[in-house]
Amino acid sequence: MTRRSPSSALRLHRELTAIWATPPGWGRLKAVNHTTIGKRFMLTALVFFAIGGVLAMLIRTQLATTQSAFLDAAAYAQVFTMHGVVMMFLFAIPFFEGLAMYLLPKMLGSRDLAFPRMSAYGYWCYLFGGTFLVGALLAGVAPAGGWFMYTPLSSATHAPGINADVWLLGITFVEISALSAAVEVLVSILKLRAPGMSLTRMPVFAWYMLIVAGMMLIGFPPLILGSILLEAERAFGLPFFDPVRGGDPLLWQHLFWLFGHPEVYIIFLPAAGVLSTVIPTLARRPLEGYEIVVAAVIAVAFLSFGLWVHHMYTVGIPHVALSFFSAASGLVAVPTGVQVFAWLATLAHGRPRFSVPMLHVFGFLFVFVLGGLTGVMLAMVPFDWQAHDTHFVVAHLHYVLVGGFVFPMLAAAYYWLPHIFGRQPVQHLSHAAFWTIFIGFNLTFFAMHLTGLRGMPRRISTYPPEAGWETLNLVSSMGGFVMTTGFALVALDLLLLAVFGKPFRRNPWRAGTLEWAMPTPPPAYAFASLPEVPARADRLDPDRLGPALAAGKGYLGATRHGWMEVLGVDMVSGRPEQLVVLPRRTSLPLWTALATGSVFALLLFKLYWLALPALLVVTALFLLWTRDCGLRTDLADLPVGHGPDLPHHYQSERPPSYWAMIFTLAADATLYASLLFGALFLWLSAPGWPPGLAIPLGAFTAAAVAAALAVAAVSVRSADGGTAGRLCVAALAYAAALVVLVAFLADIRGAAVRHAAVASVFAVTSYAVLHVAVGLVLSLFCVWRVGSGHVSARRDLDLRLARLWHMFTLVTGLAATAFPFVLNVLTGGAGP
Amino acid sequence: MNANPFFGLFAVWIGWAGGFLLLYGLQATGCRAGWDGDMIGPISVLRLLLVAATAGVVLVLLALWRKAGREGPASSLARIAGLANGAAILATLCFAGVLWLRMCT
Amino acid sequence: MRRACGFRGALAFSAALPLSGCTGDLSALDPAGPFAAAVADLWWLMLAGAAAIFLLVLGLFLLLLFRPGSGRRVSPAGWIWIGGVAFPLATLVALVGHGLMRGEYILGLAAGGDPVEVEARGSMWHWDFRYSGGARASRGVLHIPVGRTVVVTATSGDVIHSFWAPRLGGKIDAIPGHAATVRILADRPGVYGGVCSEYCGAGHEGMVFEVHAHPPEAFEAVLAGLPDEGEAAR
Repeated sequence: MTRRSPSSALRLHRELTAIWATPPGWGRLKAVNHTTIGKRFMLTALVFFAIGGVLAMLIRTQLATTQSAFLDAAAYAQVFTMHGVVMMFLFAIPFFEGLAMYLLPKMLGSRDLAFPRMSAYGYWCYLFGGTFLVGALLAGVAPAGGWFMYTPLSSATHAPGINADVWLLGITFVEISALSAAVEVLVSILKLRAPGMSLTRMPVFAWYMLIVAGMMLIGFPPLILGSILLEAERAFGLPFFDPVRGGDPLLWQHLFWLFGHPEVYIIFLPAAGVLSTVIPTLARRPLEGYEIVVAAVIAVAFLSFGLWVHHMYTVGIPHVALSFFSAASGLVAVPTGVQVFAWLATLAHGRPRFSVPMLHVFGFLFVFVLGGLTGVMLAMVPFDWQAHDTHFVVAHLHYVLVGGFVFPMLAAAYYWLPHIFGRQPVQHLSHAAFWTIFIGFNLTFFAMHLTGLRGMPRRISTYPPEAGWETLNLVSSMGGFVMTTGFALVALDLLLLAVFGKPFRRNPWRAGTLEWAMPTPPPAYAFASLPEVPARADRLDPDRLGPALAAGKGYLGATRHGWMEVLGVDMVSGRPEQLVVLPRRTSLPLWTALATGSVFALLLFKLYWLALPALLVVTALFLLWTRDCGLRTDLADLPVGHGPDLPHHYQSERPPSYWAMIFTLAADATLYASLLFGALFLWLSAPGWPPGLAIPLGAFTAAAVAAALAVAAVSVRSADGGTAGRLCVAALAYAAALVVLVAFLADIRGAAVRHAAVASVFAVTSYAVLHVAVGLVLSLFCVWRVGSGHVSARRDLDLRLARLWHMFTLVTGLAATAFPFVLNVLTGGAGP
Repeated sequence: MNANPFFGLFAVWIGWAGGFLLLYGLQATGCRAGWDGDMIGPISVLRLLLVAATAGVVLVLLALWRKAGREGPASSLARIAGLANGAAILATLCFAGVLWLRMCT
Repeated sequence: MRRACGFRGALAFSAALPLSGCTGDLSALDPAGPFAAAVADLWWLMLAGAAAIFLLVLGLFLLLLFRPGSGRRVSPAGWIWIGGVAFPLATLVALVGHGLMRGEYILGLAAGGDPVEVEARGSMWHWDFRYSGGARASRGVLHIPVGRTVVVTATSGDVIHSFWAPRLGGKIDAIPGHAATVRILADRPGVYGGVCSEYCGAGHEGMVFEVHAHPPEAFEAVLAGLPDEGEAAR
């Protein structure tokens, strides 16, 4: 081992840059660095924001006058659908993901996220998926059933083209990036922090993102499940949502809003995290009520999963059930109020200075408070019976999302752009741009409340003169164009900042968070050495810390083997426990995302027999990622500059990848639970039950699969001389289970298209097939890893990760084999 | 609390979410089975079941609260957990409708 | 309600929108029956409360910004527990309870004896109404008696529609495979507008209907003059 102490900060900078930086030219395609990927996410999201904005202009042009002939109803449907899709899925979520990726390692005193290649893969999936959706719009085959895609309007009968498939497959493709970002953010926050930064010393933004990432992990699987089921109905005729064959359109609504409402808070909370960071700095006082704010965010997270039905007050759900959701929708305003008053308390006890970010904080408060108040109104069941699906709701949701996301993000832009570019704003345009947006926004959407109460439903493309909505709509349309001008001014202003802004030394806002304890623009490695954090990480002194860290006086202030090194800490206390060596830059994420995209494209064009080999290519590419991971010899603990020597993460008991597996399985389990509950919901609510045909039970299948999965799960206990042999036994058991399950699927295929009960059995069995197949791949992969010398008694990480999967497959597989029997009992035992 | 800090932070809320699902599911099942029509005195079987289930949920949450609160020293994390858990107890207000609202219409 | 609407509406919106009132054929703020009135009342109540809360929060923010130090007398915990917990919690518990009471009222009021039952069947893109189990039917026009609660059962044979006559009551989705109900009530004779309020494809905006409210005796006569459903569909 070579270990040199750096002779100067400059030399350390050169060495670290060689290791961490993204090469120029084509090398950019290999980028995995969080600074680069974060900026790419944000920039791409802004492009989609502009596209969504143009679509909004088309909507406002169409509605400006009565009986408008600007767009026909079909084109208008594509425009309003895509406006929602682009803004929700391609702008809001990716933008805050990018911001979080850029900021988190810097705020937490680390050098990168836990899985840099996963961030790159997520970015490419997002870029390709988004391009795919916008391309469909240009080709005139964009989805046209609303961003919520209610069935049966989106079913094969009523939407025979590929438009709906574009939504289902495109969104699922993009959601890969959301889920991978969720896992990445969770693990990075929990494990990759500066030494000494306990959970409660984290900057509050990290708490917000920790909870948001957890919400994404639980919130997105129901949407992905819904998309898969609807695509299966459209492509293969499995009638999950068809009321004639035992399905139920309401199942889609439940799955969609079970995602869709938490989604609103998933978008708002990162923005609130920004505010909880920016306001204290501008008030020159640390955030008041840190602990109660964190508790409030936890409360919002849970409550937000208990109010999805407030989108469904008018579907005929009994009053007592509505009351649960109405009360939860009202109560969620309390933790939001806690945050607002924590900000006010900070201002009250600080010495606030008025600056451009503060102007946007004002914009946020003005707009978001109004949106929150109309939200409480809509939570009242009888009021919603009137206001639901009118322009009142359009006004409300724009007040919430623009107030709760766009204004805070503008504050964030003015606050952190100096960090990104190393330049301070010019300020000539900033005020004018803000007021133009602010006035334009309120003109557009304030009037719209009244338009809605006067009876204008959503999503109509024309309205008659006698309806009396024209003046209000004209005001809204003019306001919309004013607002667009404002955004153009902001874009110009930020461009001026990037080009003509004045460079500065360090920490222009006199902030107390770690991201300012580095040169700006930030180097790829972020910190030349990692700080020890002795206090809450929003009360530090970047001006003193920065030079010391740059001189290599912190942890890991030297390079070795060209490794990309960061510290892994105990989740709670922040005590260093392992040396995490990150994988190097590579173009594999790009190739894997391209292959993944080709799978979705093949599914879109119904080339199913080509999609299967493409899926195998994706699997093979993912396995190639592991070439850079792991060790072939046992290593002694390594020095990290201060404190005791630490083990390499591959030899540590709970490395980041272990937690990533746990979180991935949690998302997977959520999807499975949604599927099982979905089937129970059909039994409870769908017309045409009990089914008029027998539910296939497959007693032999159940017994054989249960036995095989048990064999597979117990085959791999510890790493010793017989490991490879036992792994082969596991692989054989999985192969046997796979054959039996696929035979069962083939057997029930005919009945599955006849009734949703059998289709549910088909879906649950397919889930088991997928997990058994992955278990098979993992077993063979482990055999390969044993053969290539990556496994020893001290280096059994691959085996332990696989074992988590095997146990999960055992449990879910047993549930899958029991499922037909349960359904049979519930439906009165019509089975054979 | 070091053994599993996240239990202390989330326990009562997870219980609340479970209770929410239980009550919503029980209400839907009861309406489908027609338990709102079976009367015991002036009160329907379904309402009795829902009120009993709500009481059960509240009791379980209180027990979880005590258990979560007992673990660990009075650290900052314990105070956050205390506030979060208290909020979850308060959020059982959501279920108050079972006492007086229409069951199946 | 009409007068109150004019007065308070002008108060609320006059600054921004001098040309708009809140009456109209489809205005939920111009109720023509107790159900719509119950909701319109709730709206004016909530509007007043919301305006007060909005002014309070914004006022505090601007005060703290432009008169630094003016909020020091209240401790940080005081700010958070009073403004962020106690006040919203009390307000919301009261409001949610009140909202649910109004809901119970709307779901329970049986004005003028047994409710009249009608079926509203949405199809792309028109409404068919069936009375007395299909013995009488009409397309595009729903006939109801004045002063008697009408229970509308919404059904659909194709995609999801939503039945909404804003001046008479709330809306209900017409979902294939389901038959949910909404209660409407007119307290004076007249012609009231109705729309489909769930997006249902390219003809969505054209899927309008009228509700004709007749005095009770006239209603029986109108009903007797309607064709059966086979004829009405032609």
